Amino acid sequence: MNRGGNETLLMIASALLWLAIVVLGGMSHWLAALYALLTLVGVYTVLGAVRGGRVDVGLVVFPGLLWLGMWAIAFVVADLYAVLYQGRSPDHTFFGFHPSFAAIIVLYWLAPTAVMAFGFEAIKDRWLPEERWAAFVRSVSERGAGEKEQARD
Amino acid sequence: MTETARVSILVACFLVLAISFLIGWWARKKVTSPEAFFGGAKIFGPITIGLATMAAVGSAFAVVGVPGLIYSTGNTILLFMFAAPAFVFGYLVIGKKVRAMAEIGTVASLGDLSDLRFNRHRGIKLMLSLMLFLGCAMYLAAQVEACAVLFQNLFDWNRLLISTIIFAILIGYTVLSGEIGGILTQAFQGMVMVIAGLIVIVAFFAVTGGFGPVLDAISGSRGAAAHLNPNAMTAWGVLPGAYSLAWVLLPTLGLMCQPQVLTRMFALRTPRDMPKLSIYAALSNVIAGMMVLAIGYCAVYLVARGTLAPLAAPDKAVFKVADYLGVFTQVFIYPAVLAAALSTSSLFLSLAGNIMSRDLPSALGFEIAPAKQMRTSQIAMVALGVLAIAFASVSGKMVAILGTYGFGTLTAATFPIFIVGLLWKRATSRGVMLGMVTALVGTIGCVTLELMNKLGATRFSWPGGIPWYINVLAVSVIVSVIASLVTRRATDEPMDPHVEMAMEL
Repeated sequence: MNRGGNETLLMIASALLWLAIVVLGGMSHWLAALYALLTLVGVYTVLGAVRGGRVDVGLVVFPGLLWLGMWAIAFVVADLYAVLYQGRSPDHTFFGFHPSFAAIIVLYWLAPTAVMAFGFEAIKDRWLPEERWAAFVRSVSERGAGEKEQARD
Repeated sequence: MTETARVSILVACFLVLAISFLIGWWARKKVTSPEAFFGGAKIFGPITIGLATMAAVGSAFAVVGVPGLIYSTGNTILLFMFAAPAFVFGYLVIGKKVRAMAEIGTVASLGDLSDLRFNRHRGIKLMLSLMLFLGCAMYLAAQVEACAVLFQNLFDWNRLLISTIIFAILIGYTVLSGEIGGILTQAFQGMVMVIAGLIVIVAFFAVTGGFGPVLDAISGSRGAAAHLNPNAMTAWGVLPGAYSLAWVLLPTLGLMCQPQVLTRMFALRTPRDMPKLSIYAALSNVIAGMMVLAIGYCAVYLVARGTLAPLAAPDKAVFKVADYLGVFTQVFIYPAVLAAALSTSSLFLSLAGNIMSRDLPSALGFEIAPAKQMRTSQIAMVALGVLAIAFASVSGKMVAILGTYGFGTLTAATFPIFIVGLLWKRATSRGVMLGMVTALVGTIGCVTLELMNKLGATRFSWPGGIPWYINVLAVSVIVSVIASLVTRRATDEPMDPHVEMAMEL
C-alpha cells in the first residue's frame, strides 16, 4: 500500500459520498441518503484506523462496523414499521414503544452506545498501546531538549 | 404554582449559581499560567471531562427545545439526542491525534491546533476565528434568552434584569478562572443534569405507567381532539424525512468537531483515558436523552389524556410537565435547565475570549504579549456577555432562531480543518482555506436567507427540504478535498515530523 495514496482515495470517496448525500437528500431520497451517510462514517472510521499507510482492520470492524451495522438494521426496521402502520395504531408494541421507534431505541441508541463505549475500552491497547504513546512523548521531549541546547549554543 | 414551590425553585437555581461561582473562585488558584487559563492544562480525568463535555454539548435547547419538539412533531428530534455513539466515534477517530498535538506545542485553543497542523497559516486561522465567533454569538445569545424564559415562567420579572443577574455571576466566575474553572463548573452542572434526569425518568414511570400508555393515549379520541398525531410516535415523527437525515448526520459527524468536544480532548491528562472518557460522556448523554424523552412523552401523555390543555407554545412543555410533577421534581428540572444554559454559555464565553485575545490577533498578524492576553480575554468576555444580553433582550425571537443554527455553523467551521486536516496528510493549507471561505460565505448567506424567509421577505426552500447547514457543510468539505488535490503539487508544505507522528499514532 503506498503511503498516503490510499488515504487520498478514501478522502476522494468521502467527498463523493458527501455529494451523494446532498443530491439524494435534495431529490427527497432521504433514506438512501442515510445509507450513504453510514458509508461515509465507515470511510472516516477506516481513515481513523490508518497507521503507517496500513489500515488496522480489527479497529475498523470492532466496534466501528458493528455499530454501523446496527444503525443500518435500525433504519430498515424503523422504516418498515413506520410504513406498515402509517396512519393507524400498531398491532403490537415493544417495551410499550411503537415498533418503528423501538428499533431506534434498541439498535440506534442503547445497544450501539454500549458496544461503542465499552468496546472502545476493550480495544484501548490496540488503539493506543502505552509504549507507542510513551515513545511519542519521549521523541517530542528529546526534540524540545535539543532545541533548548541549540538555543544555548 | 404555589408560592412555596416558586421560592423552592428559586433557591435551588441560585444554589446552582452559587456553587458554580464558588467552584470558579476556588479554581482560580489553579490558573498558574496564561495557557492554563485558556485551556492548555492537561490535568483533568475522564469523569470530569465526560460530564463537562455532556453538559456543554447539552445546551438549553436540549432541555427546553427538544421536549417541545417531541410534543409538537414527535420522535424525529430524538435521532439527534440519541446519537451517543457519535461521542465515542469522535474520540476513536481523532481523539489521540488531537491530544498528541498538545504534546508538540502549546495548545490552548483551536487556533493553536490549526497552527500546528497547517504551519501557522493565518488565513485558515482567520476563517476559523470568524466562524467560531459567529457560532459563539449564536449560542450565547440563545442561552441568555433561555434563562430569561426560564425565570419569566416562574416570576413576572424583567427579562433584562434576570439575564443581567445570571450572566453577571457566570461572567464573574469564567473571568476569574478561565477554562480550568469552566471545565470544573461544567462538570458540576453536568452532574446536576444527570441527577435531574434520573429523577424525571422515575417520575415519568410513576405518572404514565410506561411507554405503552403514552402510545395508547395519543391514539385515543382525546389525543385526536388535542391535534396530536399518532404518526409522531414512529421513528421518523411527523416531520419531512429530510429532518431525519439532518438530525442523524449532524451529531454523527458534527459532535466530534464541536468546540465543546475538541477543546476537552486536549484538556485530558492522557489520551489513554479517552476510552473511559467515552464511557462517561456517552452514559451521561444517554441519561440526558432519557430525561428529554421522558419529559416530551409525559407532555404528550398529559395532553392526550386531557390532564393538561393543549400547549400553545410547545417550548413550555418542560415547564408544564415540571409543574404537573410537583415541587420535588420542579426543584431539579428548573436548575437542570439553568445548568444546561450556564455550562454552554461559560464554554462559549471562554472560547470567544480566547479568539479575541489570541487567535484573531495572531491571524491578523500581531501578537498580544502573553501577560496581557488574559486581561484582554477577560475584557472580551465581559463585552461579549453584555452584548449577548443586550441582543437577547432586544430580539428574543430572532435569537431563538439563530440559536438553533449554532451547532451546524460550528460543524462547518471546524470540519475541514480538524477532520479533513487530521485524517489526511495531503490536505493542503490552500485547499482547507478555500473550504473555510466557502463555509463562511455559505453560512452568512444562508443565515441571511433563512432570516428573510422567517420575516416573509423571501420564500426560498432548499431542494428536498434539506436544512441549509447540511448543504454548506457538504460543499465546504468537497471544496477542501478538491482544492487540496488541485493545489498539492503547487504547494510545498513540509509538515513538522512530530505533527506527522501525531497523525500516525
